[in-house]
Amino acid sequence: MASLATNANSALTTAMVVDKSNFEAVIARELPVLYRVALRLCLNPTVAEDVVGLTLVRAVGAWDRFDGQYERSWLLTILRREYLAHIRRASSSELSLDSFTQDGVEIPSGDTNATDKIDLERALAALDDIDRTLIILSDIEEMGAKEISEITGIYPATVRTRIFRARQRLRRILLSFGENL
Amino acid sequence: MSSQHDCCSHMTRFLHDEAEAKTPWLISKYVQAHVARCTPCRKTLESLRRLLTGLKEFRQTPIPDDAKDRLMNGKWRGALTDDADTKGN
Repeated sequence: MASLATNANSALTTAMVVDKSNFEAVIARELPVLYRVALRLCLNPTVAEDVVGLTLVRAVGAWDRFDGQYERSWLLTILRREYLAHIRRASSSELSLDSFTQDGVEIPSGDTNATDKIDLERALAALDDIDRTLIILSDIEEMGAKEISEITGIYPATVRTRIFRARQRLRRILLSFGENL
Repeated sequence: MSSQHDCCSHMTRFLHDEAEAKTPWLISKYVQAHVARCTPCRKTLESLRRLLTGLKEFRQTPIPDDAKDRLMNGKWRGALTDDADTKGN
């Protein structure tokens, strides 16, 4: 009986070690995506790091319940929730374009390509939360409609239409910057 | 694009799909034939392609090494250890 209990305990310990290493491996693999998405959403590297940090804490707490499929979507769903919680807490000034251009990106001078990129960064930052999320997931991270639907909670059949509209708004903002689109 | 090149409304979805290179062969041929004779749609397609190319470049944004170190050794690691200890006991 004692032997059975020891074996069961040993199996449990082995399972936990596997889980632990899996989680670490998943995080190591997905961290660049999480950070990139958080940076574009939060518009500030410090805030982005906080949001990713909170995401990882929530994720480890929910790791037992994770079904093991589509880890990126699962993590990004948590990240988006943390981001929304953050914007509820944060003052609007923290999310201003000024803070983005001061802290978020370094603006080189005299480089047309870089200037275009900065305009695109600024236009993306000027979109509302949901449009920005759609563009980030669809056009930067190249995720499919099904995954985007899971992350954002938008009805799958309307995801593509919402993406088209978000792109239209992004182009409109770029035009207002004088971008030759 | 006047403001948005005012593409033909029935072409919107096709143009976005074509810009993403997601259109099936036959529809792609149709889009190409259409944009060859429709300037607003051609300009919209070119504009969308430039936009998507620019956005894809953002995928190159690296995570700074110091942020990566902090995040890989953040609070979650403690939670993982605590969880394992609790279950182990």
